[in-house]
Parts: sequence; C-alpha cells; structure tokens
Amino acid sequence: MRRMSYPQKIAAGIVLIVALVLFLFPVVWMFLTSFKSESEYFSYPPVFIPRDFSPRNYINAMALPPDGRGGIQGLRDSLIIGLSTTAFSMVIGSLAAYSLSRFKTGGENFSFWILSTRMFPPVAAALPLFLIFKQLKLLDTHWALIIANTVFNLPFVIWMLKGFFDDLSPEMEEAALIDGCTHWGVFARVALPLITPGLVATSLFSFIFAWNEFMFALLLTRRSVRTLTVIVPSLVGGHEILWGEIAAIGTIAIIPGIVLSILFQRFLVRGLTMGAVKG
Amino acid sequence: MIIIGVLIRAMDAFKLFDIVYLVTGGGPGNVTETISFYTYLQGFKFFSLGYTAAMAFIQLIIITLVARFFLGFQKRQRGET
Repeated sequence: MRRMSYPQKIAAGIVLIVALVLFLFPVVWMFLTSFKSESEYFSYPPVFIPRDFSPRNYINAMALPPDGRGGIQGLRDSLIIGLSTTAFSMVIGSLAAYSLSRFKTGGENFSFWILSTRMFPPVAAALPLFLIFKQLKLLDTHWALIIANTVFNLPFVIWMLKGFFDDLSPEMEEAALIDGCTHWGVFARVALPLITPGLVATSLFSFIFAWNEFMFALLLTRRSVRTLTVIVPSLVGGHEILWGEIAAIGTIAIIPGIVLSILFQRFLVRGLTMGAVKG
Repeated sequence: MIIIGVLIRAMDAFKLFDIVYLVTGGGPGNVTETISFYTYLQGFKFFSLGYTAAMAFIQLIIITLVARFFLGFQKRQRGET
C-alpha cells in the first residue's frame, strides 16, 4: 500500500473519527440509557452520564417484566433458535454446497435458483408457513422458528460455502479417492477441515441472522416462545414506553454479535476474502 | 461486484419490514407502508388470505424481473471484459 503523508494521515483519522461517532453514537446512547432513571430519559439538557449506574433496568427487564414473561425467556429462546438454526443450516448447507460445487447437481441454473429464494420477501412466505405450521400444530414452538429461519438462511449458507469449495483444488480430493476413501470420507476428512475458516465465518453469519430475525418470530410464535427481538416491541405499551428496559434488552441483544465477531475476527476477514461472493 | 452489492441491497430494501413495524407502524396515515408491511397487515391483521397470497405472488414476479434484469446486465458486462 502507498505510504500516506502526514497531513493525509490526519485527514484520514478525522474522517474515521467522524464516521465512528456517527455510527456508534446510537449504540452508546442506548447503553447509557439502559442505566438511566426514568426522569433522565428525556430531560433537557440531555443527560449523558447517568447519575447512578444502577442495574435496575436490567433487573426489571430480566426478572420483572410488565406482562409476566421476561427477558430471561427471550434470551433462552433466542439462544435455542439461533444455535439450532445454525447447526441445521450448516449441516444441510455444507452437504448441498459440496454437491453443487463438485458434482454440478441440477446443472448451472439450479444454484442460481437456490439464491433466488433469498430474494423472495419473507413476508410473502409467512402466510403459507403460518397455515402449514397451524396444521402441523407447530405454531408457537421453537421448531416453527428453527425451520423458518433455516429455510431462509440456507441460500446464503450454500452460496458462501460453495465459494469455498470451488476454491479447493480437486487434486487433493482425487488423491484421497485413489487411496480408497469414499466420497463421504473425502467430504468429511479432506474438504471440511480445509475450509474451517469458511465454516466458522458462515456459521457466525447464520447465527447472527437467526438472532436478528424479527418477522417470523412475531408472526409464528405468541406466548410460549418469545425471542428477544419480539420482547422489545412488546415493551412499547399503550400509555407507557419502558425506555430503560428496552435499552437494557437492546444492550444484551447486541452482546453476542460483538463478542462472537471479536473472537472470530481472524476467521471472518479470511473467510470473506478467501471465497464467498465473487462477481 | 458492485452490481451484486446493489442487487442484494435493493432486495433488502424491498423486504423492509421490522423498522416500519417498530418506528412508524405504517403511519402517519399510510405513507410509510412498505409492501412487506402492507402484506403483513392484510394477512395477519385483516385475515384476507386470498388477497395476501395474490400479493405474495406479485412480489415474487417483481423480484424475479428485477433479478433477471441485473443478471442480464452482469452477463453482458462479463462478455465484454
């Protein structure tokens, strides 16, 4: 990369700081609001640093929800759904991507057809899914959301993994085949370990998609399953909006994404530059 | 590459739902009702199922046309370079 002169470095730094402030301010504000007391939410001049950093909003949001079903349940349901969705879509997705990449299953257009299901607006599929799940008595269970999220994550997972498999040189797998490996063995012992960075990056994205999913959670579940994303709007009541609790749940909800991204940053950058989307 | 970015972003904007639901609820009046939100209203608030199914189908057609347009554009460019 070209070396930057001193003024250029300063200019780049200023631009970066302005961009960071623009993007991070709402998040920081939410974090601060989660510690404020009720009178501080809208006071003028605005209160930046809460008077006492008391965790009351967190306790309220987790344990004493306004309608008897709290943030703990949301955390549990979100985790169950996120993790199972990731597991299912990774297993199905890696198998599908491998077959698309190696055996050209379904010809050239089949892989594009899979991608096209991602362009489909989920709300259009929500009604049929609702009716189907109603008949199968799956409404308001974890399975409804796991199935729906898996279906809508799969195109992305397949396409990302297909990019990684395409980048592998087939010679190594041919060598394993000659040495007596079955196709399954080649897949499990040669191909999968070679794309570990890709697997990690893809499952991370899959988890975050399922974690952020809002519409299916709103439509397909009601009482016994409530993800964090659905709990937030339920705190916007008719005569009272619980800003502190909303901010607390929001803060908790963004933690997994941040932690996972920092932990696997190495994989993410490598994963995205190694394979994935190529124009 | 940029074409793919534009395509994916355009699709996402077309599917915009949760922000509308949380921030404006379609209002004031109906000026911020995206097609996703309108479909949701028709299907799950007013339960006019046939109408909703027809709208879903129309959205599918629109998306397919847009995607075809972008892909054709991309293919032509790749042919030139």
